[in-house]
Amino acid sequence: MNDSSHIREENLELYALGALPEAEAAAVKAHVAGCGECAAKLAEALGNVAVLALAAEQEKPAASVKEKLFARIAAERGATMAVTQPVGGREAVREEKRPRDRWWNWVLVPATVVLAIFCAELYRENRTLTVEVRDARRVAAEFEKERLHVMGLVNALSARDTETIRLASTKDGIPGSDAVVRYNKRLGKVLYTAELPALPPEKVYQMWLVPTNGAPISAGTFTAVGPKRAEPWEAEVPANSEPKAFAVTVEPAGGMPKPTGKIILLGGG
Amino acid sequence: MKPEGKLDTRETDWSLLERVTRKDEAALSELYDRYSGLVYSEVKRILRDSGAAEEILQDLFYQVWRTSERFDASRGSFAGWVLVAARNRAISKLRKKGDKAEELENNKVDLKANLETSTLQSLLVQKVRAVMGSLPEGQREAVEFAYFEGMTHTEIAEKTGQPLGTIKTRIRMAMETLKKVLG
Repeated sequence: MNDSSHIREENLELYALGALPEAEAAAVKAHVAGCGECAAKLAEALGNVAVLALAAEQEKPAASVKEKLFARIAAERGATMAVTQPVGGREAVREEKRPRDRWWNWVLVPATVVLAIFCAELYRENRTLTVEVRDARRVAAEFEKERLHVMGLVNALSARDTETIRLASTKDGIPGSDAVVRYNKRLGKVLYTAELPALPPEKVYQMWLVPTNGAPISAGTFTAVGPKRAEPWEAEVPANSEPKAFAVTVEPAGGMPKPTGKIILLGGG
Repeated sequence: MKPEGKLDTRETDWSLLERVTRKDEAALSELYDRYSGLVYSEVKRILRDSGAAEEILQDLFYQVWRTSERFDASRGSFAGWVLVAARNRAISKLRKKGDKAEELENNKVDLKANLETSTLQSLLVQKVRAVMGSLPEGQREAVEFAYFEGMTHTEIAEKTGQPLGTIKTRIRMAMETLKKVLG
C-alpha cells in the first residue's frame, strides 16, 4: 500500500470510496491521522469521490421533510424556553416590566413544560419504533435474499444436467490435494470446493475455465484451507464459452487476468 | 414553521453556517434549500427507500443546526462534507456498519466544484452523468458498486467474477476520467 512512506493516491481514492477492506482501511486511517501530506490528498480524494453523488437521478424531497425539520427545531427551542422560564435573577427583574402575572400563568407554565416534554418523548418513541420496523423489514428482506441464493445453489447442485468434474493434483501440484467442480451449462454456473493447504498472504489459488478455443477464463480466487468448506465457491460461465477442462494455479494475491503459475490441479476434457 | 430574516442570495455556505451558529433559522433554511435535493437523491439511490432517505436528510440538517460551530473553513467544502456524510450514513444503514459513518465525516473534504446555486448544480449533474454514461461498462459498474452499494473492491471482484487487480484498475481509470473531465 505504501511506497516509501506515504499512501498511494489510488489507495486514498479507494479509501475515500469506502472500497478498501477493513484491515487496509484501518491502516490508511492510522497513517492519515499522523501525516499532513496524505491527509491533504485524502481531502482531495474525498472531494473527487463526492462528485459521484451527482450521478444519481435528481429528485426533490417532499416539502414535509423541511416542515418536520423546523418543527423539530421549534419543539427543541420551545422545550428549552419552557424549562428555563421560571429562573430568577435577571430574568425575574425583566418580568417586572411586563404586565402583572395572571393567576393562570401559574398553571399554564408548568402545563406547557409537561406538554413539551410529553411531546418530545412521544416524538422520540415514534421515531424509534419507525426505525425498528424498518430495520426488521430490511432484515427479513436480507433473509429472503439469502434463502433464494441458497435455493439457487441447491438447484444448481442437484440439477440432472449438472456435471461433476474431479480435479486431481498434477506433477507440479501438492500431493493429496483435490477439488470438485460442478458445472451446469444450462445455468451457466460453476460451483467448486477444494481441499488445499493454506498459502502465504501474498498468494491465492485461482480457478480457471479452460475453453475449447481461446485463453483460460478466471473463475475467481480463493484461499482454501482444508478440510473442505461446506459452501462452494461460485462463478458464472461467460456466454459463448464452453469449458472443456478446469484448472487451478497459484497466483499473486488479487488474482491475475491470465494464469502465470504452474497448474497444480486439473480435471475434465 | 416559516423562518424569518432577510436573505442575501449571494451568501456563501460558510457565511450561512456562521448565521446558523447564531441560531438563525432562515440561514439553515437556505442551506437546506441549496443541498436537500442533492442529498436526498444520493441517499435514495443508495437505500432505494424514500422514507429512509427523508429520515437521513432531516437528521443531517438537524445535526448541522445543533453542531454548526464545528464547521469552519478547515473542514473544506460544506457541500462536499454534506454529500460525504449523507453517503456514509446511508451506506452504514445499508450494510449495518454503525462505525463507518463516523469514519469519513470527520475528514476535510476538498470539493473543487462550486454547488452553491441550482444552476451550477444542474450543470455539474449533467456533466457527471455524461461522464458516467461514457465510461466502459466495467468501469462504471465498479465505481457504482463501490459508491452506491458500499462494496469493497474484494466484494466487487467476487460479484463480477473479475480479478481484484482488474477491479482496482477499473476504479482508478474511472476516477481518472472523472477528474480529467471535471478538472
